[in-house]
Amino acid sequence: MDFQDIILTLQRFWTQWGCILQQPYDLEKGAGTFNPATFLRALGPEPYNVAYVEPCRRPADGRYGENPNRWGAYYQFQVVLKPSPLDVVELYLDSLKSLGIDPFDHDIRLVEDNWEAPTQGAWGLGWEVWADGMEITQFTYFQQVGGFPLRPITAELTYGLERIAMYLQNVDSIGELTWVEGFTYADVHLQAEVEFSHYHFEQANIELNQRLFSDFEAEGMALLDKGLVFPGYDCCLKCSHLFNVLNARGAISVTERQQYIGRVRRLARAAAEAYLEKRRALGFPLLKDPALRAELLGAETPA
Amino acid sequence: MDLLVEIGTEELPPASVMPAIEYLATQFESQASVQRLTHGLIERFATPRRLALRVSDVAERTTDLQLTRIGPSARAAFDAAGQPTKAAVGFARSQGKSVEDLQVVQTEKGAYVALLTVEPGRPAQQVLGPLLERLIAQIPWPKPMHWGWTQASWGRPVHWIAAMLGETPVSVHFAGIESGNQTFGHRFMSPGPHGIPNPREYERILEQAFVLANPQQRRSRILELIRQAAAPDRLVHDEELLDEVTQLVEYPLVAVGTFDPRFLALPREVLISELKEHQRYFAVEDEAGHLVNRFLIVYNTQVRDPSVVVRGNVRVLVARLNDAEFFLARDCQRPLHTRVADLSQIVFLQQLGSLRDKVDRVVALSDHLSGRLCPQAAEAARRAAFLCKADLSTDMVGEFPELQGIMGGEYARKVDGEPEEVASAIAEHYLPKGAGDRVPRTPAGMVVSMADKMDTIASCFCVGLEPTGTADPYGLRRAALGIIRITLEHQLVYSLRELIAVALAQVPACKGEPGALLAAIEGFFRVRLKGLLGAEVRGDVIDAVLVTGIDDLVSAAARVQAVASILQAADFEPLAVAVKRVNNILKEKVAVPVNPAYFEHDAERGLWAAYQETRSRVGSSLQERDFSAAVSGLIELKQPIDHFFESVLVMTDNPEVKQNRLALLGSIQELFGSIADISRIQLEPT
Repeated sequence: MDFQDIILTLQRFWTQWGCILQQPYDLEKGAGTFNPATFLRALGPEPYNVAYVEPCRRPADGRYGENPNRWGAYYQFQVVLKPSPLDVVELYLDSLKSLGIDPFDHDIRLVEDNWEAPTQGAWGLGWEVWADGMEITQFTYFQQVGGFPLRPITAELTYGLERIAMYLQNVDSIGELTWVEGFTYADVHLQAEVEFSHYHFEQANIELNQRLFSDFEAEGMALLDKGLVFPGYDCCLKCSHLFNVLNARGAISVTERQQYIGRVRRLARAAAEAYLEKRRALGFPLLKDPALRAELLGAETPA
Repeated sequence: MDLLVEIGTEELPPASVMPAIEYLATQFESQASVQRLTHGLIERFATPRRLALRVSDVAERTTDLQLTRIGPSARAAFDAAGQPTKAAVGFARSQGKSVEDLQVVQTEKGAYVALLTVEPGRPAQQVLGPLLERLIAQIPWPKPMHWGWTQASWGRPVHWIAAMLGETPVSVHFAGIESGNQTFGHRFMSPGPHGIPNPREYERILEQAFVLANPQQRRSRILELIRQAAAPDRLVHDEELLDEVTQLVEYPLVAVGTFDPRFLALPREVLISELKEHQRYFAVEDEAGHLVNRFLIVYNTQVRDPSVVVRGNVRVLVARLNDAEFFLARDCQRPLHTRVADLSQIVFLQQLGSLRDKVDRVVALSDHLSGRLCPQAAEAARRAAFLCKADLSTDMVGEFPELQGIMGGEYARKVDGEPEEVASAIAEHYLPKGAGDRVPRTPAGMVVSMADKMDTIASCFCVGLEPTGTADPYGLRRAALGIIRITLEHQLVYSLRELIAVALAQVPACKGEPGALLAAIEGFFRVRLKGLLGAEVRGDVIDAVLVTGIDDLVSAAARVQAVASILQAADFEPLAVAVKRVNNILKEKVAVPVNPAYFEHDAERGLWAAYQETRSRVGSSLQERDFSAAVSGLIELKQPIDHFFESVLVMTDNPEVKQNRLALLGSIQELFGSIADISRIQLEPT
């Protein structure tokens, strides 16, 4: 199965189930969880089912395209189901079948792995899913996002697309994957991977990135104060990425690291709080059950 | 009738499965007894996806409860003519009964009227539902979770509950799930649902559905399969891994993978970590104890072609081994000692500087300890202390934190060409890592291990990071226990207070007052020592000894054993009574020495002579560290003390004589104080 077929198959599977098919978010981010369709939508009582492919950037993981398993830019396929359906594990296993990963051919197992994102004030419980010992998906029941406990709970399925493709195509390095007949993953992305490795490790202007971090931090806080949730949250994403660049560049000492993480988390928390307030003010419009909506809106504090 | 209750769920965290089923079983037992529900054997079943209890011979009803409510005495309840008095009538009325219902019962205080009532038992069916609901809801999960809209929380989402007494369903509700009489089988091979005709059929039905529900059976089955698969070589036995893997499969199957023998050049610990920590594979070794290039995969589904599963697992492992080989090669490009400088980039703890600073303190403490314990190993210990944290900047430890120390030892030996004594001390200095782990074997290893741990303890206490409640984020309890275990297992005699003082003196920016910190840390060690000895000796006995000092840990532990061993001796109890009398009379410390010229009675002279003899014998026993002889020596004083109290009035009018008698008793108290404060030992009530 081609790399792009895997994406198409997962999109078809989850849209047939009833997910909104959103598209990648147009800012740099380290994981699909940062996409507002996950981070913000997981907050509050409104149901939301969404699937999207997400290009991710982890500058420190770049290896100039030389490491077979580790690239600084890669893809996740993200499925977010809120509230988590009771049969979410079965649904997920069906999606594997649609990719041709048959549980009678492979040993599929759910192995405890609890997820935590300190910059997002988020954590959850779940598993890494193994196919014959290889981790192909991170499966998490979010318990907290932006420092807020969640109700209802959101289930997040993060498929590691390159891992799955390497497995299905029986290939030992990311670059060798067939994207579509006649084109490899390297054909599509290698030059960018190499250049970004040079940029992140050697060229990134430290002073500029530090200044941008502080500027976006201040801008974000100001916007969130004004109730502009999405623009404010974008600033949080910017800061998170700038922090990752500075980190890869070796410009952050161990002590500073905690401070940077704390600053991004403060923004994320403020965004979460502003989002909850705004949705409440809007009357939780996506909550279809009028009785539940009345009950939740009657409550004094945000969920 | 037998009771069955099964809770079906999604794959539970392996470490919480057995504690959860144990909780259910023990709580069922105690709750059933509170509810007066008699029953027989409780069987436990547990897999990653289910917890179940089967209880045999559950009574159909809870037992009737006989209640006796005592009223006025018979004499007050009936008049001379035998007619009920107002008191009797009033009592009956207050209980909502008439006087005819009263009976006369005999009590310890004589005859009384009483009302005997019976609270009738209830049908087991009615009692069990709410009881099981409570048990299920109250399992103490280390990390409970919510799912969907549930208010309830549990280890993982709950999917079904089967509950039945004999063939009759018991109604149990939890987290929106209503109980039934169905179970579900293996996720892929036989999902079900499968009806359960009666509790006796439970494990048979599951076995047909590819689930081995009994965890002990599943564990032995895995062990048998991996032993067979390891032949003709042998399994590297690992209880912890076996426990974990048992809770990762419902239907264990084993396959064998192989890897390129060139990876056998990796250090054994690296290979084992790759196999175990990341992939939960078992390692195999030959008769000589060398790893071989095979590994054992425990998996969960009978697939069409097991070689596909093997191929996938081999691919994952080989990618990891390639990484490890790459890290090892990179790490070996730099001598370990050049990495010590890197440690100034790593913060030890906020306010406490870098790890580089810590290394200097560990070196100084190692010098202190080896000077007292093993001067011949001082040089090796000093070098090992200097290098002990250097591996933290290696790629290998970055990737496998559990290899810290081990890689340091490996690189010291192979790259730096350090002497074996130094390399093994580096590798050993994190030991013991837990309660069941071994302590360092080499002198330099012990010294560095204790120095590192004591520095961490002193540093944390200095900046107010001592453990509170159950939280111990810096592992200080484990560190103190580690020092105590090393000290006791190797019988190391040194001054704990001195070691603490040296450690405290070198912590920068210490916030506390040194005397108070020293006392706090000593107290911290006392609690750990008591915990360690408490497995075998009563708490009051331990306290009686430890209150007299733990500066010499070996002596303190040996005195506890010695005192514990004479508790049963015939003379012990009277001795303890005598010592209590001594303590009671001595309200304050006596300043004057004993002067034999003031003795008036033979009993005084006798006690003085016995004291002097015992003191010299106890003293030399202590000198020879023969603590049981020292303790038995004290028993000799029982007779003369008793005789003294029988014949002499301490608080006499003559102040000199009185002072002298108090001084005599003071000397005795002091002598006991060198071993234990026996007055703290609780005596059996007679």
